Amino acid sequence: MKNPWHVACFLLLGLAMAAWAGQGKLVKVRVDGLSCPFCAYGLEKKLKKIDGVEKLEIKINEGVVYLHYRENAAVDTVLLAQKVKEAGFTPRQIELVSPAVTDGGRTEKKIALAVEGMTCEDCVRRVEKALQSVPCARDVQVDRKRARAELVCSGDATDAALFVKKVEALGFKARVLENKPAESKTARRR
Amino acid sequence: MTLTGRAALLAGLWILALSGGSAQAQGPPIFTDTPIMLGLEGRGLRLFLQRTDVVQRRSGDSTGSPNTSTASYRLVAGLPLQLWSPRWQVGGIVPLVLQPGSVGLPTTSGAGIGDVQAYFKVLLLQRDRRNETLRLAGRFTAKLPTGDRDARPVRGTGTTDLGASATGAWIRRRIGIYLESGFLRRGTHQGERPGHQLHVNAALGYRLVPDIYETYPSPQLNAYLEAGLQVTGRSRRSGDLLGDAGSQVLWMASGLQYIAGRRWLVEAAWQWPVWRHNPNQIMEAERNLRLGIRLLLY
Repeated sequence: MKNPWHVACFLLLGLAMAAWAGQGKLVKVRVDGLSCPFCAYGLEKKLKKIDGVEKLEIKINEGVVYLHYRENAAVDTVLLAQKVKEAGFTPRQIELVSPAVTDGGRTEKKIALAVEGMTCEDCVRRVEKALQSVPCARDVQVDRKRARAELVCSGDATDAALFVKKVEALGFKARVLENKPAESKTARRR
Repeated sequence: MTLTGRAALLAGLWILALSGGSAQAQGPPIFTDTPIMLGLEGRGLRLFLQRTDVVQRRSGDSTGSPNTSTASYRLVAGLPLQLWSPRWQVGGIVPLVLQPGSVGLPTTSGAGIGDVQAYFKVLLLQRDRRNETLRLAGRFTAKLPTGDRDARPVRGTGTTDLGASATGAWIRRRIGIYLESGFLRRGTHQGERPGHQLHVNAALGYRLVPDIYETYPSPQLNAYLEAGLQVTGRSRRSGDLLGDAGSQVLWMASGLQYIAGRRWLVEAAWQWPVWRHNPNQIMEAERNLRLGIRLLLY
């Protein structure tokens, strides 16, 4: 490594990696309706006010917002979704991009609920809709015969009790049956 | 042209300029209203200077050759304010009527506040997808007779008018389509009630630059092509129809809008009538030129 440019490049790369390691968490929020770029000012302002957020980037073309949190800050996905709504947009998937590696790649949770009182297909639809309204939720499945609802939640801060609350707000009884890290994609392929 | 004729021309000019505002609502695009009540349309200040060129024709129809033309100016300030969420908005529109006295009548030059409008807008529908939004809003307007009707030049219509309109927009990446339709119920002044107005506006917006919008904020240039139809009914005095036949005007407009950063944009547009039917009117707007700025205040 005689070339001084190579040495400089490696030094810079090392510094950048060190800086990244100390940056804390990176959260990606998919925001729908971001088709009017100059409307994004309100979104930027609302999200910047969230405790723990150091900086953010709004990627209009991707329709996502990247939030850089302080290292020890808690990521409240419900609050994030609420702020996006308050800014006039629709929040979708919220996921922790970094440090996913330190979490063993298991930033997704599989949640199963027992739901009592679903007597019709309309009840099933209402429960599905309520569960889908939580931004981290995906793959929502409600089975009336088994009185059971299952979903996968991406993110690190959403409590399973929130799903129980959502279902109970509709007048049904609910309790958590299962709340465990979802299988990684690699494991699923096997 | 006699002094009386010129005074009549000026009076008509201002009535035309003031009543024309109802078809040219606030919002990006430049002449058509929008249901998107965010950013610069949410809490801000919109200012524009509008120059209206008016002609007086020998016959009532548009084929008659003009024998007098002049210009009027309005400096309009629009103040939208979000209420408890971006779904609800109130606002005010304050026009300053300017007459530079350029028509050869120095005694008629002057300036003053015109008819002030207050409005309430509510978002009725919002369907968002990635890089796409569909929204529909309703708007209620009250136009108050704050302008001096007896001043020369005339600054107000003297009537309290109430309006309701619906506006929709579909925006996907570089393209935006806007539609607006509304009705303005005119009030009565000294037993006379001008004809009610119905308008339908449409606009097509296209983001010229950047081709792909990566990271916010980024400089942006939008182009707009707009069209509208305004139908004015017959006037009444003490309940009886007057001799006028109302009017119908179909106009088009094109404009450019430059968004330099987070908190402001500048825009320029001109509007011209492509067809009109106003058999009893001798005053006609030939074109409107609008130069404006919008600032985000919060």
